[in-house]
Amino acid sequence: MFHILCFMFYEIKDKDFKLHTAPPVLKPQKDNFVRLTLRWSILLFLLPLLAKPQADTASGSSFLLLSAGSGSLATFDEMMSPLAYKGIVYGPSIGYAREFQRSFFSIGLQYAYGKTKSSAHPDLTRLKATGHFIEIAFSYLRKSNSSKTWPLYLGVSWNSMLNARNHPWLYVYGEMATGICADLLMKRPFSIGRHGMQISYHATLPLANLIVVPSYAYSPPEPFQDQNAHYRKGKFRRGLKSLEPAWAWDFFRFQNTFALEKEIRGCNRLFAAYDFMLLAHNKPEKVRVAKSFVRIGLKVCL
Amino acid sequence: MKKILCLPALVFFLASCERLFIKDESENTPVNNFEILWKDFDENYSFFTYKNINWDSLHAVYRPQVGNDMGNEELFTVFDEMLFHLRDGHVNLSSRFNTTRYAQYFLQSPPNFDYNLLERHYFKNQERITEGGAYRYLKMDSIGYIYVPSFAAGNYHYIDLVLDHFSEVKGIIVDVRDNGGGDPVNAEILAARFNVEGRIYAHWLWKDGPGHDDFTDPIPYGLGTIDHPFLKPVVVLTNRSTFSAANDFVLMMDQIPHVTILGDTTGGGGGVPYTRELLNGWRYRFSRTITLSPSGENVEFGIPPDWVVNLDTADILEGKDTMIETAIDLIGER
Repeated sequence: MFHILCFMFYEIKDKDFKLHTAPPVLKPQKDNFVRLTLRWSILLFLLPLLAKPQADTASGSSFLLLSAGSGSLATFDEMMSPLAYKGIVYGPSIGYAREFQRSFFSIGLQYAYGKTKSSAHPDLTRLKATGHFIEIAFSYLRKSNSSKTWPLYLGVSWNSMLNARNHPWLYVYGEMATGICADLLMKRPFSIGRHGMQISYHATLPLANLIVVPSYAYSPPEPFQDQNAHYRKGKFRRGLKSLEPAWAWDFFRFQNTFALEKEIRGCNRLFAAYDFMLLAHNKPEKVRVAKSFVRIGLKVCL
Repeated sequence: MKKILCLPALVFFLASCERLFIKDESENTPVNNFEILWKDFDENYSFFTYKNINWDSLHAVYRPQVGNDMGNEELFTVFDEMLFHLRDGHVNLSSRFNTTRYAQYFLQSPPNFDYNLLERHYFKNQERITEGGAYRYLKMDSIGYIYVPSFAAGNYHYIDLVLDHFSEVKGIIVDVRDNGGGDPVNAEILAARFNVEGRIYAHWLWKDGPGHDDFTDPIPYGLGTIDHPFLKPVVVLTNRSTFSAANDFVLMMDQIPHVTILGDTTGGGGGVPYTRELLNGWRYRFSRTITLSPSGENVEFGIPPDWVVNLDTADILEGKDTMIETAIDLIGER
């Protein structure tokens, strides 16, 4: 943390120095935005950690989260097809969570594989378009009310996702996004008989994103000329739209999870969760992805 | 407890609701399919200006012919007639019952190739075929002959084995007549075996916007070489059915000094095709690039040979392929 802050200040000092020794150079607005967004995202994410009270650390408990599940997936990507593709999705996830009296920290990695088909060729199984979804998220939330029945946590998370959609006739489409998000978590502990249980709701809404999308509409499809040095040199630059900023309304992502936990041996827990994700953007053409996913897993007390 | 039970009930209610958010963009009707097809070509097809095609006027002609009450066969015919105006072998429309193609570029010229003639009077069951079928080759006395039927098969690196077999020959004939193309990478693997030094063989322009003249700056494409290229005389045989990646191959070979192009002008096909689909599941493809020779000439309609030679009917009756015989004489003279 200290090193990151030092690095940020060092950069600022360095910029000041340059301004005094050389004429100012006008940089593209996009670059400045990217740099600023990155820096403030880091700062926003780390600020709550600085304010963490010591009393919480003493009462925290750590969990390893292992789960797997399946669900349904619907995608529409205008660049890929004027048809919507719908089908199933399944995959595992792994995570780590540290829970305190007044705060909550988690890291999660999720992978899902989807198989979809369109309404135009329902009987042709070979025309299934496939999808890969990889998501990694760090979140930190703090308790923001004094209710014991419905404690409410608010915080921030850093969420990165890579989606790829592969059409058997066409090319690979998708998007990569990393962004700073607003998070909300509600928990309700209760018991049935001697069993301690908990129901929770966790919602994530990205506020600012940096995204990369393919630019197949107007660039060489990949792979085309791997042998060719001239092509290879600029392959990635031409094949992808460069990292560009997008606010929540440009690149809408909403994720939420309902979870039901039940204590089993010791402090270990069994849980079932329902995730729903909606993604919408127009970069470069209209894309809509919605995924609902039911997971069952273990929360192993460390 | 009631509040707690509300949440699982909500989850149950939301399950699979993503299907409500995402639907097909437009209703699958003939008119919508026509508009999607026309607009996609309008924004992405690369040869409107070069071929002097008024795409708006074609909309005015063909849109009134499309009605939502028409059947698939009729709709397919309207699309086929509209796309025919593009005069492009890389433009196809595929449905389950038919696939359109533009064949006029070779139908209006002499065929200049007869595989039976080759098989019965030259190969005589003595030719060698590399695994995967990329090359059929034979020593004709002191000259090596390689027939390359396509650039879409596999194992084009086996050309090294073919050249080992031809280590003692005076020259090589590379026959790409009736080669309809494939992957230009395979064409480059073959052409590099005859190239002495790295060189630019083409400049490609990619569409970079919806306007008919929105293109990237020309992007140079290079031809590599190998440690010990074949430096004796090489003759490439072409006809009007030498198309697409085979056209690229001829363009590559045309840049190499010790190579002679002999036969008819190639069929062209200088645009890289891009495939899309319609609401009814039909596929279509079209050219999205322009290929220019190093001297700036558009090769969409073909590359002229160094030596124009056509198959002679009298030669055919004698069991001779005029182009092969001329190539043998040419190599012999050198």
